[in-house]
Amino acid sequence: MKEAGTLLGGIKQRLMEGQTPQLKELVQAALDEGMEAEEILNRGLIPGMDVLGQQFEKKEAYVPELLLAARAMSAAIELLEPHLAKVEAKVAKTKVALGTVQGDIHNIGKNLVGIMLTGAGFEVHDLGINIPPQGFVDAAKEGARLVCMSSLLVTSLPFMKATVEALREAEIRDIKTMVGGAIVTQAYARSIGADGYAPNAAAAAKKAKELLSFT
Amino acid sequence: MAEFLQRLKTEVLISEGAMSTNLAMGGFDQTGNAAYWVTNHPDVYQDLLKAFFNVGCDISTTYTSASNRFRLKPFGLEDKAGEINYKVARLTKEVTPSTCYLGFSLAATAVFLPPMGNASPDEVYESYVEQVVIAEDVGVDFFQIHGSDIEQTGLAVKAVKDNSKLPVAVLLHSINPTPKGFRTMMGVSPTMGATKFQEFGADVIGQTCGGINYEESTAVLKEMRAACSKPLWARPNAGIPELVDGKAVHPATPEQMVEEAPKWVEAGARIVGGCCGTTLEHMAKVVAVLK
Repeated sequence: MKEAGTLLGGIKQRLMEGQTPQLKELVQAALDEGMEAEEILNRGLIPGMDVLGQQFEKKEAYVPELLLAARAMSAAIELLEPHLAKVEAKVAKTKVALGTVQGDIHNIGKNLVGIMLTGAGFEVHDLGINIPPQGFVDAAKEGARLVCMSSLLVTSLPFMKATVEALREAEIRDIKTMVGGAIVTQAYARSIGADGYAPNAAAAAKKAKELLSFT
Repeated sequence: MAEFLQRLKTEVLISEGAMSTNLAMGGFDQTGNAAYWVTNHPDVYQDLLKAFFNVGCDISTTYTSASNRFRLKPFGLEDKAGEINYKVARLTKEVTPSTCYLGFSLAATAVFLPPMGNASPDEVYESYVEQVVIAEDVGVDFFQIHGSDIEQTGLAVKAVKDNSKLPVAVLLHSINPTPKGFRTMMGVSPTMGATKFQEFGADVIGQTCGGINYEESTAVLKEMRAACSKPLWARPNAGIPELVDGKAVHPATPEQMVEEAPKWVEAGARIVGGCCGTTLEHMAKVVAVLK
């Protein structure tokens, strides 16, 4: 497989450009050459999302690029999925629950975090918007190892705090919490006892890996 | 009353300050739909508008940026779109003095068009048409559109142009400083925005709420001035909000606004107003300096 490096480089590039048809062609070509689906995912797609995420974090890439790459990513994963299932030691994906807290219906930032977490290889359970503390607790009980909360509104911050407290009271083993959204700061995250804070979607994916000790 | 656009050739007009942050002081907790809240608290809304007129503002815009169908949907209020838009426009008109101007405000839908998302351009266009027709029915002086991308903002302009002969002002929303220069969250620069909005037929072009301070607003307006020939509208938020004791505080003071506002006019602004964090005091002082 002399071409493997070139193919993976092309996959990474096409993903970053959000070129869905071209990306699918390359992924199919890689599969046809006998490349492992996991290798395509871990050495092509995920690094592509990583680089784009870094560009987004530095404000060198913007929301449309991220949305286009996310579309391309899901199309590529669709192609890979049957092959991933065939692999003997199928990677058990780590579940992450994500939602906008009670009292807030903003979803763009939360969706971008979902995109970046998916791109980083997590199984993302998007709970939606206006989620009461119990919604996050239920998701944690259902197996999420990390609960990510978003809020754009000052008026919703008390619900962020209430959610962190509800998760603590529910005594779920090893559950981690992460918060973010417009006005949320590291200091605020610490004050409510959240395990992590991320200022943007790309940072959220990095922080998630760190909190779950994947780095 | 002289025609709106005619006056902008020789004068600087003042538009109102913030709605959301000032209505919050009147009890709006921001957890519901803003326009719907206004329909249930008409006095708070009208008192705020009257107060802005009392300090010398010339322009009010309807608080309808969050009342297109798409923005009402998460609250289950989609079917009340007609009623909510009509009521808010009426409430605004009732308190706008005959010597002043009333603009109907349209803003982003918070859904994404292809290829980024799955929203139907036709449905987005229709949601704007619905609002434009209501505005025409109520009787306004112009339209004001807030947008952070080109395509969806273009649909809003088209909805106005297809259904009205009134002037239209288009303001670029959510501008941030980035390594590539000023960009909205959708990656649009002031140059791109002003160029395209002029092509679309905007009569006034400007900037509003975003992640920039007053000095950066001046830079944004200069960039727009270089890219288009229309009168500009400066409508910045009072700096980037900070969390202080659990409350959002917009750091820019009325004094800072007064210091910078003449530079906006110098850069081509013919309407000056404010978004989030802009208080009555800010606007009173700006009126005193610019008029």
